[in-house]
Amino acid sequence: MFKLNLKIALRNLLKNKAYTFINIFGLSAGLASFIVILLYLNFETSFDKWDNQLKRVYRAGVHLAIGDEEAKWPWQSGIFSKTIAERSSEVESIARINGGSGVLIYDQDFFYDVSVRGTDSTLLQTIPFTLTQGDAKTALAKPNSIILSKSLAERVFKSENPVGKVVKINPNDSYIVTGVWDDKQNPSHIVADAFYRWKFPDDQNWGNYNWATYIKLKEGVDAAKAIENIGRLYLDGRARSSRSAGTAKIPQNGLLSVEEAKAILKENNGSAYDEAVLEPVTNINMSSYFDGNTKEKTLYVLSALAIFLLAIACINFTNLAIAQAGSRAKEIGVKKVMGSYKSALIRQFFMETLLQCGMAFFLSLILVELLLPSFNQLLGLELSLYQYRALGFLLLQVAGVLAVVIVLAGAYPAVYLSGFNPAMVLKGNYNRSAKGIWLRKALIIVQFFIAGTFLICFLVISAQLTYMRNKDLGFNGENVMIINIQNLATMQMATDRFEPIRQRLKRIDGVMEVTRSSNYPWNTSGSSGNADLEQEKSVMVDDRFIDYDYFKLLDIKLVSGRFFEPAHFKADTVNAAIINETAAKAAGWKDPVGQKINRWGVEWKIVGVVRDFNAPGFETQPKAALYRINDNANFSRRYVLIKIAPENFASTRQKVIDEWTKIETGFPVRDRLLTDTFAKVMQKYDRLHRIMQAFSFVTFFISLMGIFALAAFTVKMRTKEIAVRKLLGSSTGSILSLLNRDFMFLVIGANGVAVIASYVILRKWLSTFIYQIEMPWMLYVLTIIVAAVTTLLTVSFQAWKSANTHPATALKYE
Amino acid sequence: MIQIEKLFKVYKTEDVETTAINGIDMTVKEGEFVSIMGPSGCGKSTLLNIMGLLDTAEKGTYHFFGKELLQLSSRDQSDFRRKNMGFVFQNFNLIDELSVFENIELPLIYNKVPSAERKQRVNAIIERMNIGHRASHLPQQLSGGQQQRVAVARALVHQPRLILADEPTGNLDSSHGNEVMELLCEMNEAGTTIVMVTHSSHDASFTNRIVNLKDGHIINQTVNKSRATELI
Repeated sequence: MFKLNLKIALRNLLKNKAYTFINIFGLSAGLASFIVILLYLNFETSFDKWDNQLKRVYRAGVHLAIGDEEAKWPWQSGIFSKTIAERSSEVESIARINGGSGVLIYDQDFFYDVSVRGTDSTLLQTIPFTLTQGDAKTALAKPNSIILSKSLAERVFKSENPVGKVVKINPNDSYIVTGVWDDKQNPSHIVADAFYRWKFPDDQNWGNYNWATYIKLKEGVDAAKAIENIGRLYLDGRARSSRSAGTAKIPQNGLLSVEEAKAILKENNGSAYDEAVLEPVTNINMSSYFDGNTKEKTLYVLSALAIFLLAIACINFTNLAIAQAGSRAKEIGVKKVMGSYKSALIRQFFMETLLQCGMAFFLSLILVELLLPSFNQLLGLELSLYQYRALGFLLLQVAGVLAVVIVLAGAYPAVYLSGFNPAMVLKGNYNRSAKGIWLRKALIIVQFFIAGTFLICFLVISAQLTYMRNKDLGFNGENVMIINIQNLATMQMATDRFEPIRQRLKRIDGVMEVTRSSNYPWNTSGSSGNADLEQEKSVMVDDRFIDYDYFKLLDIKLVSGRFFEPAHFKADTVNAAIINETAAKAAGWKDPVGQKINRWGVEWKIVGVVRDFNAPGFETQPKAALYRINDNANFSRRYVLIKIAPENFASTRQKVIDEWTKIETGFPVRDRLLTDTFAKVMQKYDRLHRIMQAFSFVTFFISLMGIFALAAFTVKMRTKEIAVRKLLGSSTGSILSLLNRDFMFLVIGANGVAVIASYVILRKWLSTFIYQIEMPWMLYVLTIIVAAVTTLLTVSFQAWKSANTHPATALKYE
Repeated sequence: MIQIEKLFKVYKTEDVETTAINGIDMTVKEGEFVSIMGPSGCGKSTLLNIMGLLDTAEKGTYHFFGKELLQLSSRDQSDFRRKNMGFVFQNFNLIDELSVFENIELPLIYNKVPSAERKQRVNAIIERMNIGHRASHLPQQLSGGQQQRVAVARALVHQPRLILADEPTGNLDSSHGNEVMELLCEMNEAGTTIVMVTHSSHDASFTNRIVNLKDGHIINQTVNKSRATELI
């Protein structure tokens, strides 16, 4: 029987090619997106899980609140690590990692875009990276040792054995490669291509939150208790070190209680909140206390999209199966007459669903292979079907999804089809009650509701992105090229000593302005903190170090006072500062020029106020910024910004590059356009945009296929009615409108609900932007019109054929 | 063989009740060939459907060799139908996706006949029906007469005790119609009991007994003298 049923199923699939295609293709599109998203999910959740020991590893950071300002940093101070290592009995090991550098030199070759980071000798004991070469116990024991990721080792050394080779992280510092770790098998939130042994400075200041700090607890230790104890050690140290700042009395002996320490910190530092934060490394990639949970959110959104898409495909499957019911009725009748049980028929139809789902599954694997490269490009990933988490695990997940799909897609058709009354169908009467049609209509509404929501969201996201791209950011970054300074000496060159270089570049034909900066205009320097005002008030400011003509180059307007000028060289390079409007507002100054502000124990005199301009991401308000022009060894001005006239841009750019090779000899020039770096800020929105585009297109397309099939079904059901109407003199037009009417109501109704749903979603999404568009109602209307018109065309295509058939043919057929 | 007593069947729609079978008593002897006649809507198809357990009745009893069938569960009815009954329809009702051979084989598969025996029995009946050269064809490739012969073969292949035929010649021209009637007579002579619904008195003339129905009643029964002799 099984063989025969299989034969019937296959022959039916072949007989109704269009139906089969829509069904299988729709399902495989849904499955393919689901598999891709599963791959992504598996990838993101696999971070920092490669070794059981990682369950005991925590990253230490700090959460501070001073006045109204709040800060969360995933870094801790050097003295913190030292204290914990000495005084905590629950900690097995602790390791710090510095910000590192961006270049590795081997022989004469410079490798850029790498992250080479300094660390303690305890790194591999704390975070057990899997070494493919070298010994974890000794790899970082010696002062000048370095370990490389397998990817970097392959890039640098090709087939050579890297162990024992000498590499440099700047022209003066040589390191010997002592090991290679398998970065592909060790996905981690820690971005690093190499770790070198570094001697961290001996710093007693608890407030210098400089280093990424990882703590591994001993086995069997109560983690919550250990974290509590570490938190108390932190507060104790922090409170004792605040003595210099304030007047609170501190007991000399014993560990301060949490309450005592907090009270002292409140009195001395004015801090409302001050706590060490320890988060398990296994969670960091998906959702971190410090970096937020954008990845988690992205995954939720993607999963929701995939589930919706799959739901639409299931709905299509159900609808199409029932639309085809008439052609199966006779077979069902005959089988029943021959004594087949209803349950056997239900089994048969489930088996058919299984068969089609199986085909869809294999097709979806092909689609995944085809789609993955663009998906990877979109999200900057390297996902593959055969990646580190076993393929078997993925197949198990997919099998689960497939089972759910089979039940959802197959249940109603199986029950519906097996319910045919043999006495009726064998007389040639295939019509069933009107009950079923309502369910199918409801399913169509759900489909168009989902598709409509996607479409509206896509259009509104597009509108917001266009708005953001064209928004006046408060500065002009067009035609600005950036050169990365690579020589530490040049980065830390004092303003007056750099001036000849600046002038040299300015003399190039076509160069308009030249300046230096510690960071891109939309990135913070990575340094911010409290600046004290005179009236015992403080504001949190972003430290920014610049050079002459910075504001002029970026076209940032002066609100009051003056810019830094060579004429005021002496004063400016000692203690002059420029702030932005936000800083002035935060300080509460009506006339900021001439006011004083204290940062790092130095008093700065405000000489000018500039207009705010937009900080990264459009999600946050511009931050209070403190611009300075003096040289500071910790904050090198590592970027040269050069504004070039639009005419002959390319050739001027080349001339600048040529000139720069003469200024900084021995390095290849690394330059880019400021606008390109801006594109990176926009990237995450672009991704969302493109994902929505793909999803809304596919869901809309599948929904239309559903309508197409249902229209075909309806037309077939009403063939006799149409013939009789024509017999009585009805025009083709009136028949078209008759058939379209029902569908129009469905689609417009579904889109009506979609309008409400997407309004709620989009209101929330738009509210994350400080600069947002007005809700574009026209796009809602447009979506409804698009849905209505495409439906009209689809249904009319079917109806046209029927309306133009000679009535005699139709009536005879009946 | 079949004993039907005081059978009632009512069709209900929202506001109309139609009594299709209005207290019918009827018997069919083993080996008989009975035709049921009557105008459209007289209840003859309903009666046949009830006999085939394809429809239910409101009241009455239906004994088959003394076994009451109407009270059986639908699963038991399926079992009974599978073993004991064969059906022939006006519109053939062959499964379009299956070949002639496979269509005929179907009842044997449902009756769990082993594969080798199935092959043998199907081939035997195909030869008997003169459709051997068509065995691997699909139903659409056959003429109406041939299709009905396949349907008859399918109804007979598992050697049911009763064949129910609903206007078996209704979609055929007279020469093909006669062929099918002769086939049924042959089967009957070989011992199969047949109950047939028909409009055609020509077809009815092939049978032993004609039951005339009107408005759900049996109005009269005539024994066909030329054919009834061997039974009486």
